[in-house]
Amino acid sequence: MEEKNALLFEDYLQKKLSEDERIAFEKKLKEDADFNQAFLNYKQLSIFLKNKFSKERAALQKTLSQTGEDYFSSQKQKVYRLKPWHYSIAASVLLLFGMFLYMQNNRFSYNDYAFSQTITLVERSDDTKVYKNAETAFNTKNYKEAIRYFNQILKTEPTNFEILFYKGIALVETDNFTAAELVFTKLQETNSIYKNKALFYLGLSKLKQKDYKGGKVILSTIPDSAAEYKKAQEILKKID
Amino acid sequence: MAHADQKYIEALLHNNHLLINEIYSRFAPKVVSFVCKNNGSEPEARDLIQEVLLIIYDQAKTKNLQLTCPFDAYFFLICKRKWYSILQKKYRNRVTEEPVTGFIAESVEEQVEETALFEEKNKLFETVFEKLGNACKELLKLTFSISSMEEVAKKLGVSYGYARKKKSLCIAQLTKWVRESSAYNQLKNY
Repeated sequence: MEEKNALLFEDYLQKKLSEDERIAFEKKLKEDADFNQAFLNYKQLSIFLKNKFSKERAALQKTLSQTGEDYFSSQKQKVYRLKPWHYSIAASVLLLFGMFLYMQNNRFSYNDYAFSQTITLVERSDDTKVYKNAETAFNTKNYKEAIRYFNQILKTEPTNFEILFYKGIALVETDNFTAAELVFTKLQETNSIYKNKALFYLGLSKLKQKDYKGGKVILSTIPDSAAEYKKAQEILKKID
Repeated sequence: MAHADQKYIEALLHNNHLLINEIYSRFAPKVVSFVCKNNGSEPEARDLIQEVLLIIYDQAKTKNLQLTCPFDAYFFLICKRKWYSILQKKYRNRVTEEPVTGFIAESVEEQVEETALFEEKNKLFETVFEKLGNACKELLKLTFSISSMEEVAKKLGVSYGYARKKKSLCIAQLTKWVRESSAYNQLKNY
């Protein structure tokens, strides 16, 4: 196919066909889809090669590399051109920065407490693929996708609290706070092992929205027998 | 209608040093700080910027790229995506692209997507070209850098008819490999 027409394509592109040949060629382009596609491929590759070997492209490449070189070395020089009095400024900035870091450590940050473990889902039905997909999506932080798989599982197993819990986490991570809080409230009313976990992440969801008052109220209801108690108390101290 | 920032595309097309300088001073800092914050160095940022500008040039030159969105957003998003794919190769898929936060205008997204497709196709062409034997490579290089086919034939010590036929066959070989590649179906209509 390719070889048979190659010279014809070449002659057409180089405008070497006679008037009659050209008309016949263009007619075939319109009528024969395969021929048309083969020609398009030939033409695109010709254009690609022409650009690849063109002097203009080589010249631009040179300009870019020179401009890049100049730009980055001028950035470096800026760093070296320090005068003595700059050091005292740098020292004060450093001091301030240190203080800031110190205060930051004692301040609440959502990311310090956000759910960060990888999950392994227990397969409860024959359809294991959706579990695997959900697990991978969640562990690679593709929360939107994970939610889709969770929903698929929940359709057949509405009381799978494990899945429901992870769905709640994924919802908080994607800032779907209202939906997340519905999930956690529902879980918190069950007698599952996710009861207190749900409470903790419900509080965290409030804090992520900067609703410190709401978060405080919820976190302080976590009983001291719960695994989350210590972390909750730590946060409560920080946001006080 | 093209965006006012089309001037930067034109600058690349016409090798306009002054405006290319402006591209670096206006748009490079954001890319550099992004790369450096994401496991990269300044030299890597420099290479990335150069590579992306060259892709934009290639698309402008061969596909008549018309910018419909601000250059800033377009350029930064391409650099960002490309950097993630570089990281992904470097760390063997251990990096996951962070979800793009904030609002990205549809026009930017579309334009970036088109450039991504263009690059994909260019890469495919580049790969098949590398597969060619030296005779074909040399001939194609000559025919596309020297405009006169007669001169090419003379340089290679072959007849004009042979050079012309050989050129078409070398390109035909490329189209065959392209058509047989797994990526072809997704890219053929682009």
